[in-house]
Amino acid sequence: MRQIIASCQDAVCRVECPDLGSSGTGFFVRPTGIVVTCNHVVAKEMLTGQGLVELAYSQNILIMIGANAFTARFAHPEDDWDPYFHDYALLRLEDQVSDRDYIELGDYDATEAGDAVLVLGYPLGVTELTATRGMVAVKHRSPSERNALFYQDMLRVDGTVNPGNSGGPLLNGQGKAVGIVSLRHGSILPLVARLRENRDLSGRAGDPLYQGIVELFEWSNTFLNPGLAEAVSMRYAAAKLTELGL
Amino acid sequence: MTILKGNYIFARPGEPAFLAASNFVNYLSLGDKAKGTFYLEARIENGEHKLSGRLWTKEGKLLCELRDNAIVSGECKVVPIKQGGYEVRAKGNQLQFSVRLQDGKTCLIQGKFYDELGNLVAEGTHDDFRIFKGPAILGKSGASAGIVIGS
Repeated sequence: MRQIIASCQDAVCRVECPDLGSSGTGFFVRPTGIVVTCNHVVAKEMLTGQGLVELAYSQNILIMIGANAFTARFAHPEDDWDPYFHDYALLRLEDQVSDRDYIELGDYDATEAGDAVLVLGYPLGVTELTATRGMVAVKHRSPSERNALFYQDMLRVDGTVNPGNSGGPLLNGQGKAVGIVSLRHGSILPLVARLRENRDLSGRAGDPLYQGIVELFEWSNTFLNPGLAEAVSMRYAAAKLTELGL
Repeated sequence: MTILKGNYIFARPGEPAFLAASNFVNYLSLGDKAKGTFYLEARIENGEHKLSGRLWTKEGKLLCELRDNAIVSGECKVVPIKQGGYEVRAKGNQLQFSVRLQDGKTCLIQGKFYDELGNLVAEGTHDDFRIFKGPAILGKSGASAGIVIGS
C-alpha cells in the first residue's frame, strides 16, 4: 500500500469549481494532462418544469496540485450525455504538458469481491492527499443514480469515503484505477437534503432548533455513518478516452 | 366485444416490461430490421430496457439510428428525463419521441413512428402504445413469439 500511495500521489489532484461551489478529487490518466473526475463535481444538474435534465457545466475548473492551481477545460463535448449517465468527466489542463505523472487504468472485469483496494482523495476539505483502504464488497450492475433507465457497472467497497472523495481513483493491488469513487451507499445525505428542503419550504430557515437538527444530521453523516463506498467502473471513461483518441 | 388488455405477455407483474397495445410485454418489434428500412425493437436484457431502431420522419427521411438507447447516427440528440428515460429531439430541438420509465419497471414509448414511406406505424401516448401497421411482435421467449401481427 505504501508503494502504491507513493507512486500515485503526484497523479491525484483536487478539482475545484468556484462558480458551482463544488469540489472533489481527480486523477491524471495521461501524461498529456488528461484528468478523470466525477461528472457531479464539475456539473450542476437542474430540472426543467417537464422533468428534463439540464446540466450547467463549470466554466471555471481549477486543478489543484499542491498549492498550485491550473485551469482546465472539458476534453469531451458538453452535450455528450454519456459522461452524465455514468458520472464521469474528462478534463484537460489548459497548459500543454507531456510528462505529468499519471495512473494507469486497470481491468475492471478482473476485479472481484474480496480484492483489496485503495481510495485516494481529498475528503472533507483537507488539502493533504488521504488514503483509505478497503475490500471490494460486491461487484454489481445497477441503475444509475442519474437515470434509472441506464445501468452501470459498479464496485461497492467497505472503505471510508466522504464528501470530497468524489472523482478519486479506486486502485487495485497493482496501483491501477479500476473505478471512480462516485457516492456512498447508505449515506443519509438524501435525508439531509430533504430536511433542508422542508426547512426552506416550511419557512423555518431562521428556526435555530430546526437548523440545529439539520446540522446534527450532517455531522452524523460524516462521522457516524460509514456506509459503503460506490465506485463506477472505469470502463466508461476508458471507452470515451479511446473514442476521443486521448 | 372482448379486448385483449392489461395482460402480461412473457412478462410478470413487478418485473421490467414495456407497455404496448394495452398489454405488458417483455419484447416489442415493429418493422423488419433485416430489410434495412424502418424497424423498432424494444427488449429487456438482464432487467434493462433497451431500445433500438432505424427511424424515419413522416416525410420519408431517415431520422436517426438508435442502438441500445444510444443515437449512433442521425442529427438527433438525447435529453434525459430525471425519473428515468429520455427524449429524442431533432434539429431545432423538436421532440420526436420519448422513452419513459414509470414505477421503475414499466417503460412507455411515446411519440409517432413512421416507416420509410411516411406511413404511421405506431403511436405512443401517455397511457398506451398503439400499433397501426405490421409486421409486429409483442412478447417473445426464445423462439416463441407472443402476439404476431403480419404485414
